[in-house]
Amino acid sequence: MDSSQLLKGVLDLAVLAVLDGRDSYGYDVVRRLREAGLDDVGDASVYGTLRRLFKAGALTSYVVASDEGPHRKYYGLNDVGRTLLSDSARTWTSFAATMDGLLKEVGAG
Amino acid sequence: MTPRMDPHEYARAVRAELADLPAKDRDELLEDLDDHLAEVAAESDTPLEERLGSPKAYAAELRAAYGGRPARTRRSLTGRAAAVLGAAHGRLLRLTPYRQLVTFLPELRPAWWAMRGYALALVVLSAVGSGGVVPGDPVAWVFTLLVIWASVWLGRRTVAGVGSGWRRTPLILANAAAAWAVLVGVAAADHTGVYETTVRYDAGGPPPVEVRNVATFDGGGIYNILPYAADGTALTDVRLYDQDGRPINVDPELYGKRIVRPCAGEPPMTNSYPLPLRDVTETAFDENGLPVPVPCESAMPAPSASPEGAAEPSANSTGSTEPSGGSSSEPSADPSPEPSGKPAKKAAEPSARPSDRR
Repeated sequence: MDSSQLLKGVLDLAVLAVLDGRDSYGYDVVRRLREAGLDDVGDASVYGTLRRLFKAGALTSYVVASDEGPHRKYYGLNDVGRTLLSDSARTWTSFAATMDGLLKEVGAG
Repeated sequence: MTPRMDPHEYARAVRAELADLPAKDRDELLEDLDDHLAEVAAESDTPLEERLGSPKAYAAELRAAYGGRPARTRRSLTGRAAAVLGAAHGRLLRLTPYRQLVTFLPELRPAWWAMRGYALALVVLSAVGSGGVVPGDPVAWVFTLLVIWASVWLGRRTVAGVGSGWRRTPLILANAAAAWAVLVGVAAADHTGVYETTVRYDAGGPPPVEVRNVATFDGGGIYNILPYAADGTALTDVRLYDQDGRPINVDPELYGKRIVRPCAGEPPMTNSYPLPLRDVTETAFDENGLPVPVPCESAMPAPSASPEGAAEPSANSTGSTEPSGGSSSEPSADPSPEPSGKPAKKAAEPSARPSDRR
């Protein structure tokens, strides 16, 4: 199965989870997601997701000037974002448990 | 090979790809794109296009991620039409008859291929001068079979998915031409058929005009004509001709009637109205129950003759030749229609009394 298809459904959750650890700027989010194992994640997808979550009011943002490079816009979770994260996490956990149950016999064979 | 884009050029290209978004949305989405791309570029010497894909693909991915919905690129008119048709198709699929139709239509495809080839061959044949709905000679037949073979071959290839891109437009045109040819062919065949069944030729004379398809009253056809003078007098032996001098005929046999054939003299003129008519079933059998092909009748029925008198041809032929009427050159069974009740029925029955023609 193409994992990029699966990723589309859970990218919001993944981005929220990364930002829950600490605030990050766009490309940092991409890097951290890849480090976590989501190798297929697209730069544009992450950027677009960040902008959408920000527009939806789930994220705060602030610009940090940097000496050696461009200004970096950092994103962090606000209360809306944290609520969204915990709801989405619950949904995911339940969904993943269901899928695990379905695949238990398959995995054994 | 690939011109190396700096982050700003890349961002500009992405922005151009998203030109159809509302300006506010686009600005919100792309606000940090330049900085972001600069960050990406700073990490590696590999060109942006190699790492991120083309600006077009990047824009599509952005759109999908930002909108949370499938990319809505600008669609051509045909694309939108296809979308509308696709949606209608989806809704119609809930109807069982439509579903069945969709299931068996593909099975009719070979039939269409053969018909398409036949129609296109006939179009070509008619272009070179031998028209018709059937090939005229063996050469035309061979040509037609070859075109059918080619059409089927092409159809099978297309189903197999071999045909692509540039080949589709001529194929669509050929299909449209073939469909048009089939429709025209069917219309022409229908036309020909009408002529074959309605045009009858008198011996030597000009072809008579059929009126049975010309006009109808009360939903029924015309099988007799009852002429009357302005004062209400019934006229007899009125010969009708069209503007070209062709006799105007009706076809009583379509309505179970036949023109009475007198035993003496010439056969009746078929355009001399009103026609002396009999129901065919009335005279189909003689006394012995044997079918009588077409019995003749004396020109003037006996005064006491019943309408069924036709079954027993009268030997009484006195006054059979009646020279009245001026133009009448042959004896007439002389029915005398009345303008009352059902004229057509009256005309079909012989009058029991002598004619009051003038």
